[in-house]
Amino acid sequence: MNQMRMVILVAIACVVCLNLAGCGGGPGPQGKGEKDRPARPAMED
Amino acid sequence: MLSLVVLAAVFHAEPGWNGFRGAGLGAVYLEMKAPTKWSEHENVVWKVALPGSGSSSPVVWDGKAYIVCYSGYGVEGAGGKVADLKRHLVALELKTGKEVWQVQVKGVAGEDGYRGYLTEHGYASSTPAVDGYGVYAYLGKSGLHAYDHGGKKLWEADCGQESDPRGWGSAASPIVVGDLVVVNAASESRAILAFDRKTGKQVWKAEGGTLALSFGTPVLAKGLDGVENLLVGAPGEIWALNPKTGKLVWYAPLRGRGNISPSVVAGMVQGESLAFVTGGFESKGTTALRVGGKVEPKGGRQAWEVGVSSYVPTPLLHAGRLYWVDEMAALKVLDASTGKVAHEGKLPLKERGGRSRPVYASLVLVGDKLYCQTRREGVFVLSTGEKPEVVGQNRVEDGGDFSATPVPVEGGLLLRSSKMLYRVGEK
Repeated sequence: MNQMRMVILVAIACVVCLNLAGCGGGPGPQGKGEKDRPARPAMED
Repeated sequence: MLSLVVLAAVFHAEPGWNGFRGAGLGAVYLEMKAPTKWSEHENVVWKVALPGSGSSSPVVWDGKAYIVCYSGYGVEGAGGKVADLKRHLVALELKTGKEVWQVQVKGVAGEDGYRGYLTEHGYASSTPAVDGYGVYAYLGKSGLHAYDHGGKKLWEADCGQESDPRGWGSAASPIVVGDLVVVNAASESRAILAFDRKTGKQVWKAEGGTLALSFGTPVLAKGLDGVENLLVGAPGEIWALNPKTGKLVWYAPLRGRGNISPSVVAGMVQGESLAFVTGGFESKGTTALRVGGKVEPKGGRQAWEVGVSSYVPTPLLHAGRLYWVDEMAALKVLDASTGKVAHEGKLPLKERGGRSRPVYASLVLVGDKLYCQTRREGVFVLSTGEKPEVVGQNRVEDGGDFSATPVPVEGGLLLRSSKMLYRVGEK
């Protein structure tokens, strides 16, 4: 029972924390998959 | 003799606020003056209602102020249909605040919904850029739009219609670099894009997935070796691009591995050309790097790194010190050559913060005073130096949100709320 309470408390803390971080927005429409992109632009010669 | 004095004054005059944080000036306007005291009834030269909301600053050019707003959807919780979203570019007479012209641009299909962080800053968060040719407004998924000073459309350019992984929307501002207009379209296409400022033709595209959740405005800096870098902060790393080609000259890791909202700050400090990157959540920090060519500078690329940061406002570099008031109203002064925190303080706000953080605007230095715009408790005026002190707190209130950085104009400031634009100064 205590473990269950702990799990619930941790879940609530996570939600609160994410909200404080401004992470409430859901993902928007994605175009090109991230894996299809390079991590960064080409280096100069 | 008199003409020489006049000429000297002309050549030494600071250029007006022609882009985010005064573009190349880094929000430092030592020759201008602004009042330290104003209120609803004192030192308000004019105020005008805006046709929509927004978090961006106006820009000024040749007697006009240009400002971007949005309406139709998501205006301070008013809801509406996303299909009704419109963005406005408004030109106002700087002397009177009277509207000179206005254009409206409809949103596009796939605009991010009004939720999460978007409720904090909205759909008009990018400050325009302006030069002798025209005004350039970055309108997110609706693209980059250029108009001449009379309001005639010059061109528009597509910058992509994607969304960042969290759907937080656009915030970076366009900058003019030579004959190019450069935008950080991290949200719309995970790329920095450069367009010919006269034709709108895309000149280069610097794409990379690392750019996701990068919201800062690119900054131009020159190394001691004469090599120019276009600097952009991204989660976990900084990019230094060749401004003419968009090719990567160098990149380096950052302590801040989360999203990067503030812009990179660059300048000379004790004979070194340094760039400062702050931000990140929840792995945060501030890193100072030596700019220049691909050959690692003497002393290494990284000058210093510390664990303190600003999550939203961009720092200000002046006289060897890095100042910021962060999103929670905490004041920091760092020695820019070592990163040592010289002073920490807190603005005496009544509100305690919470999710809707009390400060989004960046500091501006006008004359010898720092101006810090808070979202709901007015503008704090602070002294400079190692231990800045609050010398004034001035408010104009309209029930709106003041997230835009104040803009220095002759004898005063432009203050932008989500409802109104004010010119404060001595009448």
